[in-house]
Amino acid sequence: MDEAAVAQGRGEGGAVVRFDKLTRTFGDFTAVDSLTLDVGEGEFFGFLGPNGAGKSTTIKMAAGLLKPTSGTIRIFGLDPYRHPMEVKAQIGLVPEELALYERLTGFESLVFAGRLYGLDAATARQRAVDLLGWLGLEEDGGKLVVDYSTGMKKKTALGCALIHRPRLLFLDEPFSGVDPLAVRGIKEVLHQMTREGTTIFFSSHVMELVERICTRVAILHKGSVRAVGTLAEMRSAFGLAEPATLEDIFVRAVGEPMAEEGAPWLTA
Amino acid sequence: MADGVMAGGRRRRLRVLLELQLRLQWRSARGRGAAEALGASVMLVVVGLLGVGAGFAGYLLTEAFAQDPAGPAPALWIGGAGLLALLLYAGLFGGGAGSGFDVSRLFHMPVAAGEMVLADAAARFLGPWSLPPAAFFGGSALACAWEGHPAFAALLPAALVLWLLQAHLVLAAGDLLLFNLRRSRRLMEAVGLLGTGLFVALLFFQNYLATRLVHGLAFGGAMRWLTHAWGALGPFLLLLPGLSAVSWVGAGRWAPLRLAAALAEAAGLLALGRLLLVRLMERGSAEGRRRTREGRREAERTSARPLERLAIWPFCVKDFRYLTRDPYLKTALMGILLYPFLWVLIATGPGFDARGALLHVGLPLVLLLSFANLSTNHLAVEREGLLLLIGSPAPRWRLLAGKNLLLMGLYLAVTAAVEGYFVWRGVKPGSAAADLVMAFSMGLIYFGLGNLLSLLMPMPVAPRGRRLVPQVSGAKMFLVIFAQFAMLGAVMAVDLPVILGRVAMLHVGSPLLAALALPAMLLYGALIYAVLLAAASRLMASREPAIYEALVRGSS
Repeated sequence: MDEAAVAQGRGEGGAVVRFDKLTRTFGDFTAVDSLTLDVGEGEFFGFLGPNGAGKSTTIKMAAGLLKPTSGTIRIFGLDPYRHPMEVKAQIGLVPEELALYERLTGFESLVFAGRLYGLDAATARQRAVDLLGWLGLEEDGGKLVVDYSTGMKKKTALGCALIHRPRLLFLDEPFSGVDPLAVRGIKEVLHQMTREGTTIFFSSHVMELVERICTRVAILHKGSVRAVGTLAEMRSAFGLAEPATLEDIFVRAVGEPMAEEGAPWLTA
Repeated sequence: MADGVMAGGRRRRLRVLLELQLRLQWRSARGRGAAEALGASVMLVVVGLLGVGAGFAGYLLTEAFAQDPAGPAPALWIGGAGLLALLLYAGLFGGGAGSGFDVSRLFHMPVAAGEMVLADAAARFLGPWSLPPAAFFGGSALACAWEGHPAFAALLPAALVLWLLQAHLVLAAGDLLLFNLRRSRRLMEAVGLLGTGLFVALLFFQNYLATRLVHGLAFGGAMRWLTHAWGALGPFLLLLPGLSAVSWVGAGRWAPLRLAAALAEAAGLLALGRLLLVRLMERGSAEGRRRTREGRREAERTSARPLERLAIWPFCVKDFRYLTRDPYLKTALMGILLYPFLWVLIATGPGFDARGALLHVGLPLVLLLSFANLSTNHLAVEREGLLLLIGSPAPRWRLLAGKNLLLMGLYLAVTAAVEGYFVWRGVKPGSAAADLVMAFSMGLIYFGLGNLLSLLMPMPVAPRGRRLVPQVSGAKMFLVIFAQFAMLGAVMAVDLPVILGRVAMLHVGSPLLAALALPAMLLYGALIYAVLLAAASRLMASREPAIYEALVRGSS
């Protein structure tokens, strides 16, 4: 493995997100272990790892929702723990557990989110209408969120994160449960946003999706970064040829294939 | 074919369900180690004390009836009915006797609905909260044996088993009814009102009967009324669940019939529970289609109404929508709106000193106590929406003030209505305005302190679809309840200048004093609230990660 190629990369235009030896423990369990990473402006950055790798914990720390045990985070040069309001005003977040009020309608949720982010009432309402149309929820905007399907809830949560046009967007498994057509439409808009300077920090455990849409990727395993860079850089770093997929890189980086034995009754 | 589906059968599935339910029944705390041990200890101490009390009550009540010509049976009737009422009161409205188990997590499993209901009832049967009723029956059996009714005493264990079975099946069916009500919002509103009415009536009878019996003057009249009512309705009442389980004991030739009725009721309750569970498993809600039409009209309006332009308005309206849409918050709201009036009826009833301190200083405190759960843990009620709140850059004082504004509006509306009633009854003409100002000041301080308590001791609420009962250790629950009462003391201490001013106005009665004192009282309350709000908003900014861990991570 080429250590230099696996070192943290810097995006063009300076680092929008910087993690420096970031660590978070819960009792005896280390969820994030000395994570060091930079993400540049306008990147569509993929944060890839299996369940329990520490992706969600990292995003929560970056959004100021969890306090790091040690290490530093800088979002636009600011510490989200010391300057929470300034950081939160610039970011949007779609957490895995979906930050929605189930007893509000989809429309009410979007308007409320807009008002939370400082939009005036008329602008919030107009943008909510626009978002409902774009997300394919115009017929369901009057239903309570509790009556939505998982995909509809995801779309509503995405709308809440986008309504204030954030400069940095944290997406934690945003497409699980969303229909493929909607995913395609949302991806196109997100790519357009990155061309206009918005940075997207996209966390997922679905390698094919990350490989298709992200410009740079970090592979996280058991709380620490095992590889970071573009697909070509990582292939080169791990000595893999052109058709090698992100999954191949992941297996090489992590070095721990799933045990083939252990549940023989499954295939008996 | 998948393994295990048909193997093992019903008996094995029931055993597995029962083990799971028992584990949840006896697990008192979400914490580990010392917290769980402390919570379990507190719970066992409380249950033990209740058991001792119930045992004594059973003995004394049976002893009182032992020499009656009808024998000790009426003691069982009173005990059986009273214990069932308490169990339902705690289980459905207070949540103390109910389980925290979300049965919907088993819907995709190959488990029959009847098995789930039976396992639920059996687990409650073997849970810690069966100890007090068992102690009551034990005390009663001792008294029967001592007073020369050995045959009676020998039948009581069977009566206990039947009573516990009926009581827990009623509780299980009641729980499922609440689950079902969520799926039909109109029906839920109607039954929520009815449930609140029953709850309030129960409180009324508790307080009304207590004051009347203790006062003594109406004792003879009340007992005559009860005796007359029993004579007319007794044979029918003895067939009700809780009573039928015990009314066959010592019933002579009617014993087989009453026992058969009790067993039939238990079977009927099991069938009812099964039916409710099956209905719960069915999908679909007609309300969704109705909402779509309303929602579209709402979404077409993109201009903002004048009130919407206020920065604090979104927080108030969001909380108001939740209060009127969430089924359990709605029930709490109904209680807040109705409960104080019953205290008024009691306080202005005959034989009660209408000029007492209760009506001036005590009444605002009583009204504020009805807001305790909504105002001292208000961040937890946000549930997953809390992430949206604390992930936003909205000024924290605005967020907290929006919540307080809504509750303050409700509190003042209720207080003004109560004061208006006093004026109409001629209880305190002319002093209502001064009492309202004092109540306003107390309310501001109470809600200001409530913000701090919400931030310092946040408790996760029950998962969606359950009662609004925190899923925390018994120890923490007792601590929070103690803190809520301590807050009332703190309100009185901090608002002492206002209270003293009000007392001075009562004694001096000078219009000039009132003209000077009332604005000063208003200003004092507003200043204290501003200080408390500023402290809470600073605290919130630093406590948000801890609150997130306690409420969102801790409740998932």
